[in-house]
Amino acid sequence: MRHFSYFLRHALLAAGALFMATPFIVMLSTALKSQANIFSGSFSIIPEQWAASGNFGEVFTSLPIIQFMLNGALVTATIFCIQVLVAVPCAYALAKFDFKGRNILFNCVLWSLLIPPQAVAIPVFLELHSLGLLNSYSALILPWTISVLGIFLMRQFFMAIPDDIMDAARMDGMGEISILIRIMLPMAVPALTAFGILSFIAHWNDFFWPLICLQDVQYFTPPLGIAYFKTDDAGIKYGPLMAAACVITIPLLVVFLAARDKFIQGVSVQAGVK
Amino acid sequence: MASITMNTIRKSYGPVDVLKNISLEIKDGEFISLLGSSGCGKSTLLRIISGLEQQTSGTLHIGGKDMTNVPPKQRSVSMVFQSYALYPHLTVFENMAVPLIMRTMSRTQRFPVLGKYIGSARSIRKEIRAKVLALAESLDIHHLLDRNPSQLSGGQRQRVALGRAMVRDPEVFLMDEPLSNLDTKMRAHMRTELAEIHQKLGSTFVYVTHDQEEAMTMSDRVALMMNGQLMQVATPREIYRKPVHKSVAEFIGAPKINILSGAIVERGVMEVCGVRTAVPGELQANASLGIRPSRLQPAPESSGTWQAQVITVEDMGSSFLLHCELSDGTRTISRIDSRSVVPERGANIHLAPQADCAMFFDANGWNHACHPHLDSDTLHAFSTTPPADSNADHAQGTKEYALASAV
Amino acid sequence: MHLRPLYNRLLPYLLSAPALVLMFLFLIGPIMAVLFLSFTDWQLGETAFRITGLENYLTLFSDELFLRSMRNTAFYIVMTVPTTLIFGLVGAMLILQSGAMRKLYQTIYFLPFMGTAVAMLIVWEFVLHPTIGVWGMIAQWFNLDPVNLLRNEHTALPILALISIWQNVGFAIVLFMAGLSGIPEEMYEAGALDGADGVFSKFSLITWPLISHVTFFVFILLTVHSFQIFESVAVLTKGGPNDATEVLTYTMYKEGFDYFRTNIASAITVVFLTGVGALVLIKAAWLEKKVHYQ
Repeated sequence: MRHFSYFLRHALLAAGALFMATPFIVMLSTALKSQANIFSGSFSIIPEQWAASGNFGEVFTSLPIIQFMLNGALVTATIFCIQVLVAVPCAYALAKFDFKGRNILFNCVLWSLLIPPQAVAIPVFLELHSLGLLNSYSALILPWTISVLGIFLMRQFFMAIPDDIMDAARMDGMGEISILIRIMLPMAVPALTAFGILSFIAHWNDFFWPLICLQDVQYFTPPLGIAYFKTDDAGIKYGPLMAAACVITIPLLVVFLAARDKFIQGVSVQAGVK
Repeated sequence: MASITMNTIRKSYGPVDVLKNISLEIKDGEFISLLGSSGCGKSTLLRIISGLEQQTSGTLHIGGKDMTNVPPKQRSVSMVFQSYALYPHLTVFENMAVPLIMRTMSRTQRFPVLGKYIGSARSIRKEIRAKVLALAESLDIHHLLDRNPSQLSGGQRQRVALGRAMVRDPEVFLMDEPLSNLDTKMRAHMRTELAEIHQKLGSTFVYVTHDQEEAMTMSDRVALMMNGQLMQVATPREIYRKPVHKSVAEFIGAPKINILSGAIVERGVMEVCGVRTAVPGELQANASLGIRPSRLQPAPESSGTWQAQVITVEDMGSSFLLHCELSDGTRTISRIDSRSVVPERGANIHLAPQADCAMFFDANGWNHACHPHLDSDTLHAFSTTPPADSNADHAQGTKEYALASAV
Repeated sequence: MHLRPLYNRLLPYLLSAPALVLMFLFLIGPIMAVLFLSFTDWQLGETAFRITGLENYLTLFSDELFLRSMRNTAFYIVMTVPTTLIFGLVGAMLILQSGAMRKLYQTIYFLPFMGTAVAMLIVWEFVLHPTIGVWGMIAQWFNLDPVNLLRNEHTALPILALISIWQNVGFAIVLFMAGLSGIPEEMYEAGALDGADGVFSKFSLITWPLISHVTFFVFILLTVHSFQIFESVAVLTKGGPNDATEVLTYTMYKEGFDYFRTNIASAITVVFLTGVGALVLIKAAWLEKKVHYQ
């Protein structure tokens, strides 16, 4: 009985894992196959005719994929830096200062948490249009410089830091800004990491907003880039298309595998589950 | 070194008065405890001395200088927190160095990486290092300097917190329940150690605690606070023997003092549970008698003893605690020596108070033995006076009104 | 001496000013603008506009395509959320008991959440290819008719739901695992002494009640997420075939940025916002309550 339930458990988990991994396996295997092999009629995992260099070569020559990746990195990194600069001081004020209007401000944050990104697309598009900023890095970055989720998470974290630590710092001779930079920020590294991971996942994957605000291929981020590659000319050239998918997916997966626990913890933070 | 003078300090949060008119003089080099239950305002008073909070009115002088509007940084005081408040992201060494870095180095010298190359930063850092090392050596934490606070035991954290407070040689040490997070054994150990440190440094110590044992064993004087007021400021010996008020008598001493209510049957005579006692003539109705458990002992029956039934007997090792019920239902506790004969549970015995150790409290709870005509103003004046210059004459106080046998 | 208190009083305002300004520029202001635009006849490029009251909404609710879009979105949510929730919970419980393989399973199940979404959608399109994909192979094995699932009116939306479940089940597993491992072992021991020692009695007496808050959270997060379905429609089906995968965000996108009917798109946004907002409101209230009680 015991053996049976053990076996059943692992059989179920393995079957699920196979389902989860299938697209990744297909992606890798197809990226290594020649066009003829792909269209040979039946699907096989191990390529019969290898064409790895051809497929990947085509990705790098016919598509500015390096540019897409750099765009993605630049945009997500800039967004996160500005989000931290904006959200952390505000969260600190909300958590540790008693001032007139604090509740109003906090309610603004709570209400803003309700707003899904798609809902503000039209007016933000109009704002950027009137400023002449559409179709630029600014258009990709500016609307996301404010992260109310970030403010909320950091506020929660700061509230959990005992006031004694701040008082000790005051006794030791620090000013309020010093306390923020020298004490609160270093203590908040785990929370910042979680915030960073959430921010990165959201903006690296974002497709909706870049699709709206960009026209020139030179600003494309990876999701937009690969969608463009698909519709563009490689429609049925599945080998290079899968190779492109590999190129933009695998670096991320490697980072995830290297810092697995941090990622998982970061994602859990979102739900208020510790 | 510095004395601390507080004059009519009040603190209120909105309509709530946390501190009402506190006046207290702490002498240079004195170890004083602010004792009281939680919410009595003792921590607020400590925070006002530290500068972390501003008094609503009244003045505070440290070392003769007015401290109103002086930020904590510029007062020569340091503080040990209940939670220790060590910086979790810094090593023990860095924790201890912070107060020195913040005080001796300029903003540019403190600047990360680049700061190292500005002016005399290097030599200052060297001095700081030497100072921290020497102090760590004397506190026996030098082997922990590279660790993080999370890797330390409670006692070790306590020492680091002490070190951080000591490193800049403040004139005044403020301690907010520093031992309450330690286990019993460690607490007793740190108590002696704190007393030794105080003797060695000779600086002024203000120690906040709710634990009377800590207050009584370590301090030169105990300041007992209740409801934002100072009830009594006196040496441990005096506050135990001559509490000015019933509430003070009840707060100090474990097990708690026995309070027996009595009736004044005629001027100067009080009847407590069937036993008549001579009392000061001024005592009016609703007076009460206080007797410490160690002074209420089983005795052969006589006209001056109470009949009692033993409810439970607690064996404390060195002594026994006898819980009894008097004939009128009053519960009493006696502490009896373990070598004496211990009555069984349910036994009917007689209890005799030790005559010269009884205290009498008037209807408002004031102790008549100490201050026959006390009202709150004179009490206030008393409690702010340091011990040396007064109350030698109170020494015989209690004896005059000795408990007598039935008239 | 007098500057210091003033500085301390101003400091919180200085600290929160940038956030406040940006919040008004990119969140609160735009939301008010959307609300306003939805009551006008303004379209992108025009200089004048007229307040038309509820006209846009009346147009919408008599528009067959919009109603289809609402129905599709609701159907999509109903297909994805409970399934993801159940698979997430069962998966989390199985993985927690899988001993040494625990980390490996968790990693594999979480991979889809980490793959760049659009790239993985394109991979799925190939996987589902009726002749050369995995689906083609499976259809061959079982002698099924290898229809193009994404081009079939009846299967397109369920297939998008399946992809969504594939993407999010790992996320649900991670949250459930965090919740489950927070249940103290003594609870199960106490339960066993009280007679709850079977799998189902343990689950109903201890596990389910003690993770109800996690379940609630995952439910809200998944529902909000499903509400926002856009990528898979935009990349794989473009609303087709025959409007079978037309969903709210995609309709809004087409109205706003293809046809430039800003007023109609705004009205759709308001409808969309009401749905999502209500859900997140419940969640935010809950979060704040939890923070207060801690």
